[in-house]
Amino acid sequence: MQLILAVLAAVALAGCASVEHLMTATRSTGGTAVLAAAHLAPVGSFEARVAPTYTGLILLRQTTARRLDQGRIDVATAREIQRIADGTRTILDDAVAADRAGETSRANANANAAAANVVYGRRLLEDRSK
Amino acid sequence: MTAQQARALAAALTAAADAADAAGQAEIGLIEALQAADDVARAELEAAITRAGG
Repeated sequence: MQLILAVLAAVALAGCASVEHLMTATRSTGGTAVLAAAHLAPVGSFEARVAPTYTGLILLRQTTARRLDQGRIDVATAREIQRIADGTRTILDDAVAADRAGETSRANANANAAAANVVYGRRLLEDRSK
Repeated sequence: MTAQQARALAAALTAAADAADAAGQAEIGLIEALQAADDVARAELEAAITRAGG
């Protein structure tokens, strides 16, 4: 599990938006890791495509929590970002479900919408941060 | 991504892996791990909102 975790972290941190990124991330963790990564998220798969959006969503929540603790944003902003993030997660999960059901059009539309939401949330956080 | 954010994300993924271990799962899919990590991040933000009096 520790090896798989290392691969997960490497893939997530690299964003794995492309074949090159995925392989670069996994190679740095050792030869066995490449096999694990291929099993976890096949290169070029829809899962590899949406993983950076999940990562962006996680970082948006974490950064919002930290800035709230630091007093750099107000509670209302944190609540608004939490609401945006919740909606984005729903759309993102539906994109994955649609892909697994073979509904490519819905999967792509939701993946694009979710990615745009994360960008919007990040911009909102920056605009309202002291 | 800052080094601090990278560590926070790694910690969230560690929590997801621990949960998989506790459930007896030998492996966890990438999307499922990221979903679990987001669940942790969501709970942390909710806790911060509560601490701030929200």
